[in-house]
Amino acid sequence: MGCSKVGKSKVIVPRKLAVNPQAMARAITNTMNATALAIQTDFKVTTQTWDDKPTFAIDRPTPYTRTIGTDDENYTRLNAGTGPHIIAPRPGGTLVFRTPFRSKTAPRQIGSGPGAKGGNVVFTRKPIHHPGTEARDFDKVIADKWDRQFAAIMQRAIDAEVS
Amino acid sequence: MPSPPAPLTWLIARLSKLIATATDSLEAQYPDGVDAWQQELGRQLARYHGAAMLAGADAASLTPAMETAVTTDLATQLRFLGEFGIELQDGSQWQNGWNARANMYAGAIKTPYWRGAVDMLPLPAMPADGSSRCLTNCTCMWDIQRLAGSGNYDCTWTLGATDHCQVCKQRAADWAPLRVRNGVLQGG
Repeated sequence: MGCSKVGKSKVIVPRKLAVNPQAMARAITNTMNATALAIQTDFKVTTQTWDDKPTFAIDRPTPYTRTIGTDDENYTRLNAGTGPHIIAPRPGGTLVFRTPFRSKTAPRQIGSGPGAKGGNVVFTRKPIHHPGTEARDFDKVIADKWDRQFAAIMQRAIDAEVS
Repeated sequence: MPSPPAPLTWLIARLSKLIATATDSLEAQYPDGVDAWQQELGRQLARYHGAAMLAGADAASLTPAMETAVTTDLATQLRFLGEFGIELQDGSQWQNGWNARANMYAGAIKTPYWRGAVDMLPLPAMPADGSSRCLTNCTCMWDIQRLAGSGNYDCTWTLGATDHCQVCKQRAADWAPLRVRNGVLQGG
């Protein structure tokens, strides 16, 4: 899955917190944890209506870094998109698919709808031209959203330490 | 479904009325009067953000941390109000949606209310803070259980009685509860 970074902002740090490394460390940890949880929830929103939901894990490569992602191949492909390609039946076989298909997700939207598999079943022995799938860019749009919220979350974590 | 807190409902109703009055008056003289309207809304938002924080925390005065929190939330709304003001100044004819849009600012005081109500805990989001699709229409709530010891809480995102967006539904499923232990938010 692609990598989008969140977290660069200006916040107000009261003097009494600036000279208390333990409290400052807790404020940063809380900021990282809160942002990671919020991002994880938004990723789940993009698959809320799916039958097979991917799992989204939060990893902590360093104390002040969080990585939120999934190993699910379908999700990764949808996120990045695919170019036009040909789908051919196996030698001697038949391609079977339904139409008209309606996707449950849309590019750059944090959400998922009902979609539709399509009511017409098509059988063909010829290769078909798939137009490709437009990248959903879930990672980018979620990163953009939480980048804007990051300062507020950090300020909350700082305020929690001095309240 | 739990009902919204009575003090918050009362504050929103009052602010909503003030905003409606100011906006009706602007509509009557439009395209004049945008600056005065913007100043009036900014003044009322500042008053009601502070009042909402006090009501949420059930406190008589704002601590310095509360003041910072109110200032931060207010700054966000004033930025939106500034953008709205520019749109109003650029227009020549009153648009139907502007009254409803102005009224949405009343719902923005839910954020300082809940920040006060949750003891200023470092939680990922507050109702109506703009991080969910429902924006200031959000009717969700935090249910905070204080546990034994210092800095220990269970915090549950609770859906309001009205329709809710997908983000809020997911939060209600995932953050049920979020655990704060020794002042540290767990699970992230």
